[in-house]
Amino acid sequence: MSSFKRRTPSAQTALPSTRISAHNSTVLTSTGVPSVDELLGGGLPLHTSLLIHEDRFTGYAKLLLSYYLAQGIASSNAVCLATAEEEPEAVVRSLMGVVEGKVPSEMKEEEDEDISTSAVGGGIGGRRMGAVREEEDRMRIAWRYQGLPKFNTAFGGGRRDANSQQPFCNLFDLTKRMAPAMLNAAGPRMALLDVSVWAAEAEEQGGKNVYERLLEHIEGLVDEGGFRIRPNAPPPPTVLRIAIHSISSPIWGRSSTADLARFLHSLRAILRTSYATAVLTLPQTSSPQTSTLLAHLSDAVLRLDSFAGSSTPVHPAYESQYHGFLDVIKVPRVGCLGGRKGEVGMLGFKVRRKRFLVERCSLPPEGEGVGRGDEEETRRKAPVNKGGCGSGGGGSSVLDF
Amino acid sequence: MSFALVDAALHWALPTPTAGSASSPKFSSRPQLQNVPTSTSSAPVSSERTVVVITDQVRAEGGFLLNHFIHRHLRMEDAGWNVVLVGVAQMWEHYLLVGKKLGMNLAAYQQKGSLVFLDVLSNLGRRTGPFATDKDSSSNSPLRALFETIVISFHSGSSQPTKKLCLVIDDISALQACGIPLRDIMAFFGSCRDLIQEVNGCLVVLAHGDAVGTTSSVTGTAPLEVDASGTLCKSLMHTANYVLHVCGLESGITQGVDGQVSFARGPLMPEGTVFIPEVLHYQITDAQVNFFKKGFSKGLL
Repeated sequence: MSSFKRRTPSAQTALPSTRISAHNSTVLTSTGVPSVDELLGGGLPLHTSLLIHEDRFTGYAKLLLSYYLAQGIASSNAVCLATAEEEPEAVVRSLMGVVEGKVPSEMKEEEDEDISTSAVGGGIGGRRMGAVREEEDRMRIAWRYQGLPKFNTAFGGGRRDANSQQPFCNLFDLTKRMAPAMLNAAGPRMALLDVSVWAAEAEEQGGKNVYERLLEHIEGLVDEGGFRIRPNAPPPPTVLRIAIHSISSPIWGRSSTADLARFLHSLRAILRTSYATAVLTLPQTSSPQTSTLLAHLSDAVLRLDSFAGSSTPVHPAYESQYHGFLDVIKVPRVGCLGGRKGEVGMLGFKVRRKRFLVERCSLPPEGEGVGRGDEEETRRKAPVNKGGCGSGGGGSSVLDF
Repeated sequence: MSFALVDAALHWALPTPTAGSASSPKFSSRPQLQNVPTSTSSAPVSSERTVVVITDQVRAEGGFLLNHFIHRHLRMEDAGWNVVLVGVAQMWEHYLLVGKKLGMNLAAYQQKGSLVFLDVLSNLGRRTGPFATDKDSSSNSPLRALFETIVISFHSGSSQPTKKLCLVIDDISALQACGIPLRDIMAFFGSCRDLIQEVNGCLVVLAHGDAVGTTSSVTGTAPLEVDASGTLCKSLMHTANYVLHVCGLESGITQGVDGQVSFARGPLMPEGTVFIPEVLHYQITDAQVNFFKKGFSKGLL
């Protein structure tokens, strides 16, 4: 008998569009964005929650939430969306389209070409030209390095398994809407909760807290859908995704921090005992102390800071390349010690024509675009208002420091 | 596998002679461990009648240290140690899986009765169940029920004559976050401390101290909420023998080091206890936590 034994897959591998982490053997689900999956250590583990601190004035956090929902629908998971900002039906209708038959790693090359041509050729009929240029212009470093993988935080998340039908992560196209047929098919597995109605009712009748009501609803979904973990019972055919948009925004009605904390704590208890994951976005209206508290009560925390909403000026080189910074505050550590930490260094996110991606921030080489030389020049040209550090203080001295 | 360097920093005796000899090749394999001067020279202290408070932050979670205390005392079950683990933030499965990674089969200990897990996470805030919040909310705090359960589960365990209790409370701050008033939590903590003194036990508590170390709470500009979580942390620290601060690296971020643990003297440490405050760096990998003396990380060397 051979000593090499094929590992028999555990019961949980039967769940569609999940995979087992190579690091700590937890079951992972995809957030829909491969680069975000990678930052979380391969994906969002089952039974955990992800809290996203929203960016100010822009909607990138909502975009991430849409990706999470769209991925759920694409891999025919059960989906629950709770929002007070707009009609949940409208959110679902405006989800991004799925590119059939492709996974992100296959798309990357093509997409990047698209970007480079629009940047170089000024976007005028760039495509064909770019295709020609691409052949000639590809920089040749040394033949022996060509085979090496390019370093990138945005790993192709969607390796397609030969035996599984659904990919771990689908490819989405932001220029398209999700096909109505796909939405209709997902209809019976969707629960859309309009929290603003509940908030209004609670205001009028002084009835139950919005959070308690939402919690009861989620619990009902888990129990009725059969997502609860029962000993010696087979797992359900699919997993439940809970998306909560802008929790505790002013429309959610008056509530204390303790209400919200209790909600997150109870949600954690529900998640741990069911085949479900949750993604919540938290608006930045709450105080930093509250967000620290809530971060402790969530399993993973990301923070988006868009440049459009930032109060401090950002280096123009960053501004030209990215739309904001992404901060990995906490990675999920459930059922494992810790595993990988986020990358050392700043991470930036950008929204291209077709997709959202996260990269390690890097400044372009000097002399390209706004380099250091240009900056110095503008500084020299600008009238010197501040008092000079020398004795003179007059702007145009002979030495011109 | 418990963390030998943590025990060395606390000057606690290694669990058992067998476990000590098992970990001794590890000692020799790591040169930096020999730089711990006091671990070998002075007589070790036992962990009896001690209160250990661990404070952590969002970016540097201290939950992994709890595993050390659980495993360490379970290894000494021959000496009469029993462990009661109160899970406010994590479920039993989490500890089971982490224990498996670190080479401890917690399920076996649970069957033997030397480890009892109390699931507060899924029971707190329910209308029914052992820790129901609103049974009679004015007089009967859920923590009273919890404390009674702790006492019962300690006594119902194995019936050895000299029983010692290691009580580990995972995230006492989460109790406060869920709206239990500070007064109740401190009363609960006080009862636990008394119990520990009575049975020669060891109490290990994790609390979140994001607000404690920062200057904002010193200047007093912080709003009330900070004070609430900060006060809990400070009150706990005032009644501790050892305080372990887990935080990010002082000097920022570097590869190969995830954060640092500062071992500090608590106000209630008895006179003459052998202890030298120190700082250890740690790195968490998939199956192990590596501790380093400051500056001796493999990522730096």
